[in-house]
Amino acid sequence: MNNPYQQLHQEFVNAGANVLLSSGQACVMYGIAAFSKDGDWIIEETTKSCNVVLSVLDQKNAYYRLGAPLDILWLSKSWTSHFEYKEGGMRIRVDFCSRPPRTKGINKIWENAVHKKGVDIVDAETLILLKQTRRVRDYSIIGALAEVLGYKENIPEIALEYLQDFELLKRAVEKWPDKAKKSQRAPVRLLLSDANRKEVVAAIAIEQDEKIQQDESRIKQMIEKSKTYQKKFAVLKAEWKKQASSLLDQHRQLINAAESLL
Amino acid sequence: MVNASLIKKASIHLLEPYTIPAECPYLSEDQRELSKLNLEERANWMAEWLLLASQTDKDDE
Repeated sequence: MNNPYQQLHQEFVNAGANVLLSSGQACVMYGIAAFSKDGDWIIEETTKSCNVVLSVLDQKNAYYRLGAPLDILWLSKSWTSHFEYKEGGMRIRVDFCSRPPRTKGINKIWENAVHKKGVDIVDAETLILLKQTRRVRDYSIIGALAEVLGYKENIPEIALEYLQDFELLKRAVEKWPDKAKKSQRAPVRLLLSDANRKEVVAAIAIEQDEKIQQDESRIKQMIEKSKTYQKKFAVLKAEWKKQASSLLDQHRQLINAAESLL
Repeated sequence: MVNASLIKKASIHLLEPYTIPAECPYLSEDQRELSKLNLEERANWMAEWLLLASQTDKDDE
């Protein structure tokens, strides 16, 4: 059975775009999530990669969902682009960014990217940082990545920094005491000072909530900044539907409409 | 700060079939099964889920 997101990735790459699988699809490829309903990519911030991706999606009769135009001017300001099309009865959702939040910078992402057997993908630590979102469910994925990177790949720093479960974190502190002593993470410091379970569990929960709030605040700011644009987009979308506009036509109109985001 | 080349090497390992170690008791059966597959098999696994999900979407419509 063909995976439409994997196929699409190959089409982007074969057509000359530099893109990396990220988020849910990357979790599946790393073997720690069974399923992801949409496709997220990090795109190289070049006109060529943007044009190639647009051309591939245009051939699939994709259309823009609410988001910025796929263009380096908007990508470089951390805006994201979103598309959708249907294939084989499936709704395919395709999202792009070039400067994902919380990561160590655009150059590091590309330096650390992994390429293997037709899969071009963000490295596992970048994936952990990407997953520090406002969604509670993402923290179990972070914990799962920290488990396999810590216990299978023997990278104690990752286990100590990102494990989300009391028992596993306690075991990590006992297994790697010297590394634990170097950690600045509050739950690890508490374990080292023989704090009780409730205190450590509370510290893990507070840490998660802080990250959730940071992401929530980032998204609120973007929504606030794009209020005028959202109205323009809704009008354009209705027009596109009426006129059955191609993606490339949609893109040209969106470039004019989205100046307020810059 | 973890050495980038160490993370990269570990990431490559996770793209190969692997067995989730016994020290990870909370990972699910799905995760244990998926981790043992190669990349093509993982992609196919997800394709089956996508098909099921699209069927559910249709049923909901």
